[in-house]
Amino acid sequence: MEPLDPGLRDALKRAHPTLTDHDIDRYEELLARRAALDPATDREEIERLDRERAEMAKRLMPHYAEVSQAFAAQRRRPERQRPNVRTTIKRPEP
Amino acid sequence: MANTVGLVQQITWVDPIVCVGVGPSVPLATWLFVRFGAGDTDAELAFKKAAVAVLVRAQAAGYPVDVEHAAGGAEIEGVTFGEFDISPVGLAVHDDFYAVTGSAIPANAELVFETAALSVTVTPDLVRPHWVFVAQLPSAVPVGRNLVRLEAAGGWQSDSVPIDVVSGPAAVVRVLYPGAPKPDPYGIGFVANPGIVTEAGSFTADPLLTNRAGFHDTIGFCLRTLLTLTEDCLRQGDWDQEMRFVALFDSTLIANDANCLTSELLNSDTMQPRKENVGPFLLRYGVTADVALVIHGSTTHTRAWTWASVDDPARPGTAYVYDGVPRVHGHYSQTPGSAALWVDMDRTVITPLHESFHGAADFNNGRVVDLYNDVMQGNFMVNKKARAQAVNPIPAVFANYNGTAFQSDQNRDGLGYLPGWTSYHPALIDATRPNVMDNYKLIGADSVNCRLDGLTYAFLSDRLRVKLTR
Repeated sequence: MEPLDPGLRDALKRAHPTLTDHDIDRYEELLARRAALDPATDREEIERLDRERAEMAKRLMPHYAEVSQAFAAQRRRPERQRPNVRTTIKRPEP
Repeated sequence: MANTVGLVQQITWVDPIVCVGVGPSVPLATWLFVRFGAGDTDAELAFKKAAVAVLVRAQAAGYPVDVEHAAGGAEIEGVTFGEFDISPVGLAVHDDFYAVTGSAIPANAELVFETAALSVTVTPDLVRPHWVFVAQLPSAVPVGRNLVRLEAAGGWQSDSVPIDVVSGPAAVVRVLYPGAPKPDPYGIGFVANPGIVTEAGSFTADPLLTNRAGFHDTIGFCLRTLLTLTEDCLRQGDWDQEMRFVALFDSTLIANDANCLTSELLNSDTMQPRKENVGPFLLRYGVTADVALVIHGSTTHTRAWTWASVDDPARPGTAYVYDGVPRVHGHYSQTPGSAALWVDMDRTVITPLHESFHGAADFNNGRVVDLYNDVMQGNFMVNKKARAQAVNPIPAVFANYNGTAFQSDQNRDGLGYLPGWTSYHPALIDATRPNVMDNYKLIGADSVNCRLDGLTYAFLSDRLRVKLTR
């Protein structure tokens, strides 16, 4: 899983003044534990982890979605630069 | 014997003789012939038919031929063509991928497309010693017959190969690099995600299907990240020339259960691949992959997630021993590793490399896990262990893999193990930066210099080796 961007961590704390690094780490841990489980065989445990994470997000980071989406929008890649292309027009052969 | 070398300018059939003009132009051509006779043996007839067929193909393709004939005579005794030191991969289509293979290609090589009136030079998105890759062929390259070659500063130059450039359409399935010439080379697939399962459980079209340029650009970024950075696990010994790279973009698909290759993870900004769907989806297009990178265009769930591949236990494998426990590197996947990557992912860090290493591992028999948390849940982990208590010292030796003792990382490079963590990691190859599997984002753009630890490098290298040689 992609690590949480340090900038997003800061943005979450700014949007939720009581939120601590410890809270975020706990949320991330629940996400990581879910990643270690097999959806085919560990459905119940995954659902339990998801419930705990959902409750945590609702209680501590109610603006998680808005903050993360705004953060992603800021980081959106600018319009792609086309590859460096050099064109030479040649004089026709006599 | 004598040889005449040049382009096939003209072919004329005057029964029973085929006349062929070979040279720089029709007026300067040398005229040679193949004569069919009633007394030809089957072998002679087969040779003559093949020689004429080759000459016709060479004329159509614009390839030079080397025709062998008797000194002072004009009857054709042999034909050779197509001996170029580079080989274009697939059609040349504006805005589609374009690639050329070769050998000993300099790192600063450029593509030169030439017509009688124009010369267009394109700087590639990726150069490997055996492969030059352009994410989108610029429309500045003229439609029609071109000669393409590679050039590099210092005077290096490849042969010029005739190609026909067309304005479209871009292909649905495109082989970017063919890999080893065998039925099942190690495969890395790039897939445009057709649909997303939302947090609410509905199927919705992925916006990526209207952003083909973004898909191409992302693949260029992924390839550079996988194959050109300091961490060389995937490209060591030019192993990547044995791998097959394929891209798939089908804008006609609807978002249904079979076509949705990603799902939004509830209450998060994370997108998951639907790992059970990815392999069967690729197979519909005749594509197999060991690791599939699913590119999506969500604007709400932009963080990457990867499922490790699942080796097929019913097919051959190569045994290894980890801490005295016999295990197996499977030669084939039952389920390919799959990553969900955002089309606009941060281009300054190494996310595709990090996620690809997760995907290349085995979910059941050797996971390569994230090192930036203290989670010890799940199946066997290659690169993370835990002490009974956080206050216990970290053992000097992390693990014994195939008879080699790998040391532990006592300091977690410069990051340090967090208070309370029981987990610890194998020693890094380069201890001055975080592990590729750790929190590379903490050092931003310098993450391009991150390395794996020695144990994971050895483990993944062995896995790759047995799959490359299957």
